[in-house]
Amino acid sequence: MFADLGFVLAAIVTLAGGVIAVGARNLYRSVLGLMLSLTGVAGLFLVQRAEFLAVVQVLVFVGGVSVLIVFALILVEREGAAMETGVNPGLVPVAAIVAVILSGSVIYAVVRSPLGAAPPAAVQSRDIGEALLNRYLVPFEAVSLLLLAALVGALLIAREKRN
Amino acid sequence: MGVIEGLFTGGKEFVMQVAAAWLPAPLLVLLSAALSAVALLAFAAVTFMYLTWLERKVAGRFQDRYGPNRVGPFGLLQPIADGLKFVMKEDIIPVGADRVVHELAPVLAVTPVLMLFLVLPFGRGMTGADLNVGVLFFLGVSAVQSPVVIAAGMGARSKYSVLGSMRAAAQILSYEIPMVLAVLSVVMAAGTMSTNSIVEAQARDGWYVLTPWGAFGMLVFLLAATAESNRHPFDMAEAESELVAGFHTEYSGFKFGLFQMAEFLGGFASCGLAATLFLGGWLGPAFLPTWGVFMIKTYALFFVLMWFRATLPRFRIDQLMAFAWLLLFPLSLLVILSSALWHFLALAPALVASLVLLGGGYWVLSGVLWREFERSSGPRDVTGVR
Amino acid sequence: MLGVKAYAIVAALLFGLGVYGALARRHAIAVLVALELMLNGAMLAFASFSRLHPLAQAVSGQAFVIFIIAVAAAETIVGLALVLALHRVFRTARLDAFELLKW
Repeated sequence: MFADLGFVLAAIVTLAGGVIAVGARNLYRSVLGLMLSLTGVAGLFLVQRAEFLAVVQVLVFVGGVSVLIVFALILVEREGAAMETGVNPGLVPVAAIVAVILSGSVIYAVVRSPLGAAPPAAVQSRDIGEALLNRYLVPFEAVSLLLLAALVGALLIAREKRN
Repeated sequence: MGVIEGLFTGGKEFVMQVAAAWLPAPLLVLLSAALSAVALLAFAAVTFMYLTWLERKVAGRFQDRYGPNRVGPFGLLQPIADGLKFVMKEDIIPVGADRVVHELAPVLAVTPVLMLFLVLPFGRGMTGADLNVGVLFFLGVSAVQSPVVIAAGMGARSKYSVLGSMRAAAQILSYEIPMVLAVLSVVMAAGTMSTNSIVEAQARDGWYVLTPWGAFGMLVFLLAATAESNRHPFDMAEAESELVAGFHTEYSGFKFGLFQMAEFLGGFASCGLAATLFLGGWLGPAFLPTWGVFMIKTYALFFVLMWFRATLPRFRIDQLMAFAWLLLFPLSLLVILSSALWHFLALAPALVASLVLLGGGYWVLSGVLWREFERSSGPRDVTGVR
Repeated sequence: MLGVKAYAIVAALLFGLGVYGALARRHAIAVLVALELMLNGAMLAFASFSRLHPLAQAVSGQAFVIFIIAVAAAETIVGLALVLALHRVFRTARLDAFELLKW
């Protein structure tokens, strides 16, 4: 019973945050909506007993990536009036149609499929760690290389040219 | 001693037994959670009040004066006077401020810090919620402080606030990494992320601070945690003589009190975690109750933090960043390496290897990297020569 | 105990919101925010569907979520660096200003 209540709360928070993130005119409010949505997704992980994922989600996304986005926002717009941007009115119908088609088809497929209720698999962080280091070792190392490349690349791209 | 030892657990069991007679099962779960939560909140609030009193007394004694002693015996009613003052102050919201964010930011600052107390093992069987990923939960929740700090500064829409909040957020992000890595070394040694299990692992293996990697690890963790809660000597982002008051410039009265609560309780919870991870948590002599042992250790570490405030000058903002990236971060990597060596080698070679690694590493880092940083950013004389 | 369908529906809705935002928003950083939403929807779907399998395979779904988190972080880093570089050249980060490739 608590799990269902938790799911409903977390789902509401996630979707509300998502709506704020894509709908808000003020860019800063939009990022706050993103943080709300990310926390909601962490809550959804928690309700599914994937505690490790929930905590890593909060640690990396809410505590890291969102802050990066806000930093970039401040550096680009300098909290001036230019923070107010909205949607491109010509593209709204196209975007809405594409979004509805994509998500609608997934929802239709899911609703029609014979997926049943599933008890949460008791995955421990130990199991995730073992999987990452045994079965998925190559992707793990590849992702670390990717992060290194992203760091170095971002530094190079964003550096001020010194004359 | 059994009565004092089991004072809190026994009390809660008694209440649960009384309630089990006339409450249905799901509400019993809720009641159990609510009892723990209320106890922790009350503890946090009272602790905050008397931590401010302790801070002022200790700072006063370091400066060869008494500290507050007018309000009540030994100044013990001073926090109540401070609280009344905060509550009665006018609540000013700047004209251009974003009202929703301005109202929410202090609440968002305090809530994660209160959640930190959930995973601290206050005594045997006295953890609020013994999560499987307890330590990671602590780190994740203390990472939430960085966007909150930015929200606080940006919501007020003043130059000082935004600048202060950017610096504070950058500081929190930078010091998170050595903190997480130092904790990782303990998790590697204990084999578990649950705080209670880490304490029990130390019952088997001895306190981790008594190992070379544990001593350095505790140092790294304590310094990083001090910086995370924006305490002195890392409080450049909110120091009064520097940036007016940084990200909490535009907050007055009770909201400012909430920010102070977040800072103090963050430092206290980090001391509690350091006591758990490195000093053996509630393990102690048999004649003391386990929760008493935990309190003594945590307050001892917090006394060290207050000692920092009374004696050390403040870091400059670029020194602060360099301290995190050039000193603490490589040192924490060496701590992890040393922890692994300690686990796999026998005692004598592990000791030698750890001391060489850590001592040599610290010597190299401070002698080479830090000196180079100071040379390139330090003071110059009148002709422009460093 | 709610089934996997409910979580999958939430994931699909989140993804749809992200698609709308990525296509319709005018500012580059708003598009990046919408991309984050899409990735989160995918992550949620992975974690939810992994519950259907016994333990040995359920771990794969959760390990993959870790990978998605890391890749999303990397992509955001590079995207933000690009926005900063563009801002330096064009003095704006709004997508309708970037029309040099149009004839």
